[in-house]
Amino acid sequence: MSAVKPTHYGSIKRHKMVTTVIYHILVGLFSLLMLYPLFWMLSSSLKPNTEIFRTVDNLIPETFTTENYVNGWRGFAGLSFSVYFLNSLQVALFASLGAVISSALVAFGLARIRFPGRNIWFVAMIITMMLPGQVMMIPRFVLFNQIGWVGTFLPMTVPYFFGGAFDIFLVMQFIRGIPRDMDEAARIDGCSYYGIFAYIMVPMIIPALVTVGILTFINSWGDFMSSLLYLNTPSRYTVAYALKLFSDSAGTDYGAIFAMSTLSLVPILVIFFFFQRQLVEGISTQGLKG
Amino acid sequence: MKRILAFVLASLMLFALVSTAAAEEPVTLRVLWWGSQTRHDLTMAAIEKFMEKNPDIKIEPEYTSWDGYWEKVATQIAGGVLPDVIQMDHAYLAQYSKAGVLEVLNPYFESGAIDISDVAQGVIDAGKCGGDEVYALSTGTNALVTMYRKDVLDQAGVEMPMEPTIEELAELSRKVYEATGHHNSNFNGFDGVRYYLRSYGLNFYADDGTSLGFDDPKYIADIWQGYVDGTKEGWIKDVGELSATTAFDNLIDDYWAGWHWTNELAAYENGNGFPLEMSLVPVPSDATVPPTFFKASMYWSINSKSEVKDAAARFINFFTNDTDCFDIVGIDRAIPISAKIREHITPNLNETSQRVAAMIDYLGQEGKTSPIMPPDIAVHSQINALLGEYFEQVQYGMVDDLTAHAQAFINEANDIIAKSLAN
Amino acid sequence: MKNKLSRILGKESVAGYIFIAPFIIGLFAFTVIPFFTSLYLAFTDYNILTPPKWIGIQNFRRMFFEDKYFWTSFWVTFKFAFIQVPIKMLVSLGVALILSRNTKAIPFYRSAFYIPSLMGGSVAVALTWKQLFSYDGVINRFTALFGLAPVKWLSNPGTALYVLIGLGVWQFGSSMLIFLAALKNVPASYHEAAIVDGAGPVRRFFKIVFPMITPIFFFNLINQTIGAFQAFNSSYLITQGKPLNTTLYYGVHLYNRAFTYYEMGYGSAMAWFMLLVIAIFTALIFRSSSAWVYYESEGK
Repeated sequence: MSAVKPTHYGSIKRHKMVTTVIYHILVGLFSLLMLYPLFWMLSSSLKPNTEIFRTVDNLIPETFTTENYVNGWRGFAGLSFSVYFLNSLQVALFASLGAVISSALVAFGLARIRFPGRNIWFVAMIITMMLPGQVMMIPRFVLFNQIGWVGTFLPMTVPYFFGGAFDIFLVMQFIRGIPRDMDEAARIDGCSYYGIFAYIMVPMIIPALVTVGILTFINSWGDFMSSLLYLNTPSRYTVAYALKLFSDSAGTDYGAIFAMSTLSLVPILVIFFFFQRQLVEGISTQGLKG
Repeated sequence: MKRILAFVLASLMLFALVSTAAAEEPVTLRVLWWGSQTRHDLTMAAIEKFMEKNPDIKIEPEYTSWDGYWEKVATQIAGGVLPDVIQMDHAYLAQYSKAGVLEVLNPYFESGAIDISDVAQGVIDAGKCGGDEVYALSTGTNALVTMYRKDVLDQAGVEMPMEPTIEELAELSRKVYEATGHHNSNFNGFDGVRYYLRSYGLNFYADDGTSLGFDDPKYIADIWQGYVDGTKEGWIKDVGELSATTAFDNLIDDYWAGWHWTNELAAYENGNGFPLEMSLVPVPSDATVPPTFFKASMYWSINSKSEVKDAAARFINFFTNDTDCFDIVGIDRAIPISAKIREHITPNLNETSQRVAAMIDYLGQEGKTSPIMPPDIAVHSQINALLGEYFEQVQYGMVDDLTAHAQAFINEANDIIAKSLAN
Repeated sequence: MKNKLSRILGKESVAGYIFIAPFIIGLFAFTVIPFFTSLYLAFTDYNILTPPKWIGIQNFRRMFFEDKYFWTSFWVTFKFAFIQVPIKMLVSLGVALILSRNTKAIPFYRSAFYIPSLMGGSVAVALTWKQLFSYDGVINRFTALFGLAPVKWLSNPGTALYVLIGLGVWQFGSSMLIFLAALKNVPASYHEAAIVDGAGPVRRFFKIVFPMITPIFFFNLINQTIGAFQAFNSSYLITQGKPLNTTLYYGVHLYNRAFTYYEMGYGSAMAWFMLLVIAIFTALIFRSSSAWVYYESEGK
C-alpha cells in the first residue's frame, strides 16, 4: 500500500477505480481458467468411479460420493495416507531448510567475495545443471547404496544441505542486483564477511530465500522418482509415491487418485499461500533504504 | 554461523539414526511386487499369515505400481540390492534370465520345496526360456479374450458368437455401427498380429529368437487392410477422432468391444459401470490352430544372488499350494495354477470372479488353446514400438502398398534383432 | 591467538572458501562420481543387468548415423525449446507484473495462477489436457461457436507439439514466482521518483523495472532453456511421441533407450551430447548477458 497517493489530482482517483474493477474482472476470469484442472480433479474425486469417464466434461457430479476419499485415505496394506503425509512433510521440510541455508551461504560466497578460483567453481556449478538427471539415477543409487543410505530419507534430504546449482544461481543473481555500498560501508566499519552476510545480506535476500524454499518444498513434495528408487520400507513411502500405487494395468482406481491428489495439494497450497506474502512489492526495501 | 552448522549436523545425525532402525530376526526375506490397492492389501494379509505359520522367517515387503517397477528393479540390480523374491512379467523374463538375475527353479521342484504336483506341465513350461531351466513360476493363469457390451448388441439385435471369426466380427461391427452408432476396432495391435500368426501355426518371433518367426508380409498386411476397410465403412473411428473418454484408456464404452486379459474383467467393468461379457479372440475363418494360449498373469522368481533361497522357495510354495493363502488373496493374481487350490476357492468367489474362472475352464477344454510360445526376445519392446510406428503410418493414410510396407517392417525388425545379437 | 584466527578467517580467499564449502563438499560427495560414471557409461554397452562393456565411440557413431529417431527427437526438442521459452518468459513476466501489486485478492490470484504448476506432471493434468483437446473436447466445442471446424489437436502431426507447448506455457508458475521475488526488490522509491518525473507505466517498466530485474530475467532464461532441452513429462504422459514422432522429445527418446530398452550406455551417450548442446546455448546466453544484464552491484 506504499505506492502512490496523488491527493492533488481528483480525476485520477476515479480513473484508478475503473482500472481496478477491470483488473479484477479480467484477472478473476483468467484465474478461473487456470483453475479448471483443479475443479475437474475435485469434481472427479467426488464422482463414483464408474461415472468419472462417462461424464468427463460435467463439472457437477450426478452422484456425489465421498467414497473415494475414504477408500483412498485407507492407503495400502494397513498404512494410511496420514503416514505418507508425515513422511512427505518430513522430507520436504528438511530439503527446503537445507536448500535455503546452503544456497544463501554459497551464493553469497560466489557473488560477493573475490577469491581465487571462484570462476572455476561457478562454471562447475553451472555444468552440473546440464546433464539430464535420468542417466545419473543409477550411478547415484549405487553411491548412496554404498554409503548405506538406501532405504532412508537421507538421499532425498542431505544433498540439499550442500546446495543445488539452480538455487545457488538464483540467489546469486539476486545478490548481484543489490548495490554494494552497504557492505562496503560495513567493511570500512570493520565488519567481517560473516557479519555482512548475517546482518546485511540475509535480510535483503529474504524474497529470494522464500522463493528457493517454496520451490524446493514443491519439488520435493512431488518427487516420485527418488521415493521409488531410495525407499524400500512401505512405512516410509511418501505421498508422491503412494499416489502411483492406485494405478495398475489391471485396474486403476482413478477416483482414489483424484481424491488423494486433491488432498496432496493442500499442504503445498498452504505453504505457498502464506509465504507468497513475502513477495509483495515495497515492504522491506523501504525500511532499509531509509 | 557455527551454531547453525552444528545444529544442522546434529539434526541430520538424529535423522539418520531414526531412519535406519534395523530389526533383528533370524531370516529376513525381502519380497517385491507391483499391483494396486487390492493386491497390496491382500498380499500383505497373506504375508502375515505366512509369517504366522513360519515364525522363523520375517518378510520385508516392498511394493510399487507397475509404473516404475522395472526402473526400480533395474536400479536395485545395478546396486546389488535386489530383493529375494520378485514378481516377474513375461515381457522381461527372457532378458532377466539371460542376464543371470533369476535362480533356476528346477532343483526346488525336484526336492519338493516348491510342490508342483497339482500344476499342469504347460504352466510350468511357461517359465522356461528356450532350454529346460524354469526361471519363474506362474502366479495364476490368464488368457486374452474379447470383452464386449451385450447391452449394445441387444440394442442392435445381434449376437456375439463364443468363438467369432474375424469376418464375423467385422460384419457384427458394421451392423452395430449402423444400428446404434457404437464404434469398434479390429484386433490390430501387436497382440492382434500375434494371434493372427498363431492361427496359422506361426509365431511372431522364431523359437530360437534370432529373427521374426515369419517372412510373408501378408499377415500384417491383412490386419492393416482390415483396419483400412473398417475405417472406410465407418465402424472404426478415424485416428484422432477419439472422444474424451476413449482418449484416456481402452474403456469399453463408445467402443463396444476390446481385447483384454481375463483378470482385468472387474477393472473394465468398474471402469464405466457397464456389465461385460467374454468370448474368444477372433480368428481368421481358415485358421488351422486355435491361437489362444494360457499365459501366466505374472510370475514369482527368486533372485539368483539371494542368501535365503530356501525361505524364498517356501514363500513361493505358500503362494502356490496353501489354501490359507488363497482364502485371503483369491484370484487377485489370476486363476491359481494348482488344480486343488482352484477347486478349493471357486465356490467362494464373487460373481465376476466366477465368470473369469468359468472362462478359464471353458478354454481348458480340448482344442480351445494351443501351447504358449517361448518368452519374447530381449528387444521385444523395441519391435513392439516399431510395429506401432508402421501401423501409425497406415492410420494416417501415408501408405499405398500395405504389403510393401509390411515387408519394410519385417526387414527393419530383423535388422534390429540381428544387431542386438551381434553385440 | 584469537586475533590471528580472525585475521585468517577475514581473508577474502579463506572467507570465500568457507562460504562455498557446502557446495564443494556436496560436489565431491554426491555429484562428481555419478557425473563421471555416466560419462564412462557413454562409452560402454550397458544393459543394467550385467556389468558395462567398453565399446569406445560406438554409441556416438550409432547416434549420429544409425538411429533414425535421434535427429527427429533432436529437432523436435529444438523446436519445442525455441517456441516455448520466449512465450513462457513473456507470459510469466507479464503475469508477475500484473500480480505484483498489493491488494487483498492478490494471494488468491497468485495461488490460482500457481496451481497448474503445483499439479505438475500429475495424472489429473495429463487427463484434463487430453480431454480439453480431444475431438469432442471443450476447445473444439468452443471454436465451433465461431463456426470453425473441429481440429484433431493431439493427433494432427501439425498441431500436437503446440498443444504440449501450450501445456508448458500454462505451467508458468515457478518462473512467475521468481519474477515476483525480483519485482519485490525494485525499491518503491524508484517508482515514486519516476512518477514524479511524469513517466507512464510502460516507460517506467523499460527504464526502471526491467533493467533492475535483468539478473533474474537472465536466470529464468537459462533455467527455462535448460528445462526445455530436458523436457520429458508432457510428451511421456500425454502423447508418448505420437503422432508420427512429432512430439518425441529428446528426453523421452533417451528415457526409452535407457530404461525401456535397457540401453543405459547409449542413453548416457545421448545425455552427454545433450549436455554439450545445452552448454553451447548457455555459453551464448552468458556471452550476450554483458550487453543487456544490469548488475546494480557492479554498477554497469
